[in-house]
This record gives sequence, C-alpha cells and structure tokens, in this order.
Amino acid sequence: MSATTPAVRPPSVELDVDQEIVAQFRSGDRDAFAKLVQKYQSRVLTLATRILDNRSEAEDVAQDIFVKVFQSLHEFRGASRFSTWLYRITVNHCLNYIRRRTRQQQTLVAAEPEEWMQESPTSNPHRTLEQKERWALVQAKLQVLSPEYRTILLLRDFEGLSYEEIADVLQLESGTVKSRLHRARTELKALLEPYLAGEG
Amino acid sequence: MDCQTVQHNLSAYLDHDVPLFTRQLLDEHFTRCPQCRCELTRFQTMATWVRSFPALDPSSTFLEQVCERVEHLPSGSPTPLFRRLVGALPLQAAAALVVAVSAALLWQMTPSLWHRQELQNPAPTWIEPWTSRDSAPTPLMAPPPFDVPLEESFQVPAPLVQAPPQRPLFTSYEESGRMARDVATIPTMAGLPTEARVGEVSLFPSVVLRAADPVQAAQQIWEIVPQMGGALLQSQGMVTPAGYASRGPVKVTLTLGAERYQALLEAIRQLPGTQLTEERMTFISRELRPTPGGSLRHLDYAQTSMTPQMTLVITILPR
Repeated sequence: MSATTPAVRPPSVELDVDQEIVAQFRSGDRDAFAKLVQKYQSRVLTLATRILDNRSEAEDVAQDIFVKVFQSLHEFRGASRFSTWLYRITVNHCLNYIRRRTRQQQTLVAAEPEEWMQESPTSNPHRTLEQKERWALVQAKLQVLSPEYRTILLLRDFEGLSYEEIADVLQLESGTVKSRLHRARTELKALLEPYLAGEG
Repeated sequence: MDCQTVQHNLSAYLDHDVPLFTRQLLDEHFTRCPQCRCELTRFQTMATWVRSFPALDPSSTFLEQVCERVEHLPSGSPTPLFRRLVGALPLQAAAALVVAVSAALLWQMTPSLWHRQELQNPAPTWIEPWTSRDSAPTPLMAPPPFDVPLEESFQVPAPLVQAPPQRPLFTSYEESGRMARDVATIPTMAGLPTEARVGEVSLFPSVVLRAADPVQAAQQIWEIVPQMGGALLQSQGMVTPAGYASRGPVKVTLTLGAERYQALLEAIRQLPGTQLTEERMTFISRELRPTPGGSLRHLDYAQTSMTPQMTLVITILPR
C-alpha cells in the first residue's frame, strides 16, 4: 500500500496571503476577488463534486458559492482562516442543495456514476484504470453515507482539516466532530469491507 | 486494553488524537492482536483511498462566469446598504449601531402602545384640583371595577384576620372607604386622613405556618406558586443534608396576583403535615400629594388597579 499525498493541503503561510487579498478586496480592489477565485476554485469544485456526486451540478454550485463569497466578504472578520470560512459556505451550500434536489434528479445522478471522474486535461494522464475504478468505488460508497457523514469524512481525510477546523466549519463541538467522524469511518469501512479485505 | 476499546479508538489513533499513554497501549495491543492490526490497516487503506481523490479543475470559463455574475448582481453593490454600513464598522461600533436603531424603533412604538393601553384601561378622567387649569374642582369619577372574578369555584374559608379579598395592592381613598364598610378597622389601620381626597393603601400579607419539615413544606409551596401565576422572590432558611428532616425555620418571599391570594392559602392548608397558624395583613398608606405629572399618575392608577400584584412573606416554623 503506497501512501498518497493529499490532493489539497493548505500551507500555514496561506493565512497571511489570504488576509492580504481580502483586505485588498475590502479596500475596493475587484481584482483581489478574482485572485481568490483562481486560488480556491479547484478546491471548492472538488469538494462540491465529492459531496454532490455530480460534476456539472458541482460547477454551478461552485459558482453560486463564489457569488455568495463576493456578497459576504465584507462580513469576513478574520476570526477564522479564510479557507475555513470558505469551506463553511461550501458545505452549507452543498448540503442545502442536496436537500432541495428532487428524488428524480438523484436517480439521474446515480445513472451517471463516473461523470465526476472527468479530469481536466492538465491532470496526470498516467493514472491507471485500477485507480480510476477505485475512485469510482469509493465515491459510490461515499454517496451511501448521509450527507453529514460524507462531508465530515471528506473534510478530514480528503481536505486534511484538523478537528478544530472541522468544528469551525460545521459549527460543532470538537468532541462531536471526533465521534461523528468515527461513526462515518466505521460505516464507510463496512461498505468497503469486501474490497479492503482484498487489499489486505 | 481489550479489542472493543481498541476498535473504539481506531479513528482517533489514525488522526494522532490519542494521548501518548493510550497510544503506547494501542501500539502494544497491535503487536499481539492480528485482528485489530488488520482492522487498523483497513482504516488506513480507506483513508488513503479517500485522500487520493484527484483535484478537479473547473472549466476554462469558470472565473469569467463568476465575474460576470458578480458584475450583474442587483443594485451593483456587494451587500445591501445596512449590511455594508455595519460591515465597514468595527464590531463594537456595529453593535452600538444596532442597539441605537433598536432603541429608536422601540421609542417610536412606545406611544402607540401607551395609547392602546389607555384604550383598554381608560384612566379616570377626574383631574385633581391642584392640577386643573381652572380652580373649580372637577367631580369625582367612580373608580374602576376592582372585583376581579375568581376563577376557582371552591369555597374560600374566612382568613384569621378579616381582610377583604380580591383587593388590589393600590387603591384609592374612596375604595378604601368602601372597604371600610366591610372591615371597619381598615381606615384606622391604614391611618388615612379623612380629609384626603385620594390616598394609597398597600397591603402586605404575611403568613406563618407550622410544618414537620419546613424545607419540604417550602418546596411544596415553590411548586404551587408558579402554577398560580406567581413567582418566587427569595427563600431563606437552614440547609439540611439530604435524608434529614429540617428543624430550622424557612422564610419564603413571593409575588402573586392579589386575586389568587386566598386560593394560595387554601392550597397551603391542604398540604399534608402543614398547618396555617397565623395570617397578618399590614396596611401601609399614604396620601397622594399634588405632582406636576398628574396625568401620568392616573395612568399608573389604571394599570395597577387592573393588574394588582402583591408581595407575600411566608414563614414556616418547625412543629
């Protein structure tokens, strides 16, 4: 088993950079907003795609998220990291979207399980078929979990957020994050058990 | 450490969120338990799979579309005016602004509330001679009705001291005169000057009980009072360890609608092991002096007479 580098890891220096960009925006620099979009668009889109399990819907939702960010950026006080604040908006938007989505649409999504796998031309072309099948498998099993469990698992294992940051994003106590994450992992492991056994 | 405890800590172990001592215990367990070690490996594999999801790039027009939507936002401003104003201020200043706006709105609403209150409880139109524009005394109006009907239908036994039931805390001299026809001692007790046109009488009842366990009796009264719309103000007494009967006196101070006073006494009489031994009524009276704000006093008069509230002190002595 080879340890894979996390897809996104926000370095600590981002804190100051983000605050500087936000300050530029608040002083009237519209280009600063474009900088934020460019910096975080991939991260927001990826998380939204994992939660929603639909690439095209996720792209629309990601646009909504950045419009919301534009409207609310004046309210951002820097009490938490910008990325944490952005994750909070992203998660809330995605969960609200799921609640609104009709059952018919969900069936449509289930009929296209591999749509989310369409990578950009810039991504690694040497990915093996086995890897892609595994992503599809994990993504499909993630969708069996409740949106709340799926989100907390993605925030921790995919985005690499700490318990405290997840608590900040989801507005939960740190202890609740810990127990909910344990339950989410246990559920996902049960779903993946046959495949994990093959790995072991 | 048993396997069940280990399984419960696997997620936290994976996140390096267990204390060092627990981690050592878990490590030790993994070396000798292949089943738990296998379980840990599966958790690690699963986390690796989730972590290995590729990052997705948005379409090439994503930024352009977002910027276009932002440009076409209604009103051309990122946020509504009020939110922009608040957002531009420091937190303390924003809080102060919100408080100031709320106070202004409340101030604006208050006269209409007063007006509505006056319509519901019209104040006596009688104007005291000293506040009247002309020197001619205005005829007295009849006081508002004080006889609030009791909701309880049971018969109320006569109190030890014959105080008039259903009387408000504040009343007028004329009313106290009417009370005097029922209880002849009241004018003397209240000490109202006969020449006074208007006076106030405050009734402060106090009750003495005897109970086998004063604390328990007080607790029973605590439960009764809120059910009658009253509220407890204070309890004083000896702290008794659980399981022991209290021997010291307890004093309970409460506030209650005057019309519920007799009902409360009746409820207290029915408490097991409790005996009402003394009931006292203190009258405090004063003559109303002329004030520039005569009309405001009329408003108070109307309000207090419609919602009489009394303070009652209950002393519970051990038997």
